[in-house]
Amino acid sequence: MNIFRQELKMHVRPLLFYTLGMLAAFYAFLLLYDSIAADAALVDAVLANFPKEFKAAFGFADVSLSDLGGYLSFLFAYIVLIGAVFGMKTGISVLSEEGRTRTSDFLLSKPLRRGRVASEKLLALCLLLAVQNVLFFALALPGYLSKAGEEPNLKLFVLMSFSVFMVQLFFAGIGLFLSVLPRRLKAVMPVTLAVVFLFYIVELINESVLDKTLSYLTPFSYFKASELLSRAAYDGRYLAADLAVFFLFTALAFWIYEKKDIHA
Amino acid sequence: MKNVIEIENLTKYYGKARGIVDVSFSVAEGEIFGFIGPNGAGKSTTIRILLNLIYPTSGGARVFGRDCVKDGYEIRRDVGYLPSEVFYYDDMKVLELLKYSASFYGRVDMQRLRYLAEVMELDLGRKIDDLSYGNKKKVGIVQGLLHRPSLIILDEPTGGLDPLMQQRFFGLIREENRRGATVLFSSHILPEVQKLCSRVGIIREGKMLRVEEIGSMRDTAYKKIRLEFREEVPEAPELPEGAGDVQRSPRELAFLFRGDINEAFKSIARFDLRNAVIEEPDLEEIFLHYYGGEDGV
Repeated sequence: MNIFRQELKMHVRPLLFYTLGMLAAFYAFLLLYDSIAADAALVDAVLANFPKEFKAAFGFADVSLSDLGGYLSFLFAYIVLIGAVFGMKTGISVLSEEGRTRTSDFLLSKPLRRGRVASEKLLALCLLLAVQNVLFFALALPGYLSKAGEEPNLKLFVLMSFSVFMVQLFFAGIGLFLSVLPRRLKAVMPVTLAVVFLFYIVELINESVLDKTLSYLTPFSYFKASELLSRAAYDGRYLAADLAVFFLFTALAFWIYEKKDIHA
Repeated sequence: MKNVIEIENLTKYYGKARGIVDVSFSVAEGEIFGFIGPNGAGKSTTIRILLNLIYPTSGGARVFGRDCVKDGYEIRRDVGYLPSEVFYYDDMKVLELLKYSASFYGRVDMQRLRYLAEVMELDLGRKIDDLSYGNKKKVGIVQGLLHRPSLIILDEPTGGLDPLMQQRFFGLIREENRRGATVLFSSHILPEVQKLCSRVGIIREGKMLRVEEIGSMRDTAYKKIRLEFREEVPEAPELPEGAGDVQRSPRELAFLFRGDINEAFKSIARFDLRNAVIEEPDLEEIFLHYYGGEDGV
């Protein structure tokens, strides 16, 4: 398990950095909630005048911002986005960082099977994402409870919080796969941002055209907080699509990594 | 004698680019085999196939009688590898890295680690990032020898090491060899291969030219002799048998020499010299004169 440990060590700093980022965004939005709730009628009136496409694009088309549930579903779109960037970035990194630091020779000349190397890295990746979600949930919960009043909807908050993890799995799988394709992947962040925002733009288009089939193309549609509000559960079909993408692309990544020439 | 490495018709193309073509040779147990050729000849390609870092296009290689592609895992347990360019995790300390490296082979032999570090004068407390190229190379040497491998593969190992450290390093290799380890030593510097190896394989442009006993190479090896005269020497001086490729100006004379070095000195002795340089020719020159140019043998 030495590779696993080494991976955790290498990613602990970005993990804390991104988790802090998510928490900062969460609490910053939450601070604004009081003033929005206080002028609920006014806010709703103003928003009513916004074009529908604009509201859709920013995630508050069919929710009321003056209601805490609706407000959360709006703000979680951004938390999920930050989480997606971390998931993608870490997914791209784990199998390609040896190529970047040029330590592949060091690692793969050791008595290790490549499948073992990839497995330990995958395990570290999943643990990092899980830890991030637990950390975020634990540290964001007090904020939610402070605003929720007498009857907090814990189930809804759990569903929203862990939708970050589900979306991260999707991007982690895509990231693993993309990272083993080129001979040596140098630009982790540019690829990460390009892919995440590509899927985000698909989501924006999807929100505007409201085509159900298009929604399978982007994980941002799978666990939409506004859907969770009414449904109070993850949609089984989307959950299946999410996990299928993760497993399929991870398996492909493993297969390519096994067959790949490792260049000095 | 048993062969530790057996390579048969090994070919590797990187897409359309040539790596190696039809390379065959074997290395016997307990020998120090020199693998020599200019940069880009295919030495590293061959070595990387032996370690299963890359996959062959055709042909095959066996190490310890096992197939390199299928049994890479078992093979690598008993191989120590020093790459030509060493890269490690920059934020680790030297000791941390060596322990990480050793952890893949089981127990860490701290006594041996300290012994090797002492011989190579390697400071275990420093960060990898702060090390010079030569010091990183020392880390590579220690991590390659730490687990007492029975096959040691060295890919251009001496770059960055000062002469004293090269001596110590060669000492360590000889020590391991006496213990029974087989060594594959790749280099583009002929003299260092001559110092250490019993046999050499010569590779050029992806093809194996020949495998020779080192003794026969030494007898036929060229020296590069360059003389500067104090006075102008108008007439062409008479040179002993074995001199070739003569280049001359009134104050200078340069030639390649192969034969009894005493004869060369006798014929030089009558001149009043300002300076004399005798060098080992580099590999390209040897290929050109010894193996008769482009197509080698």
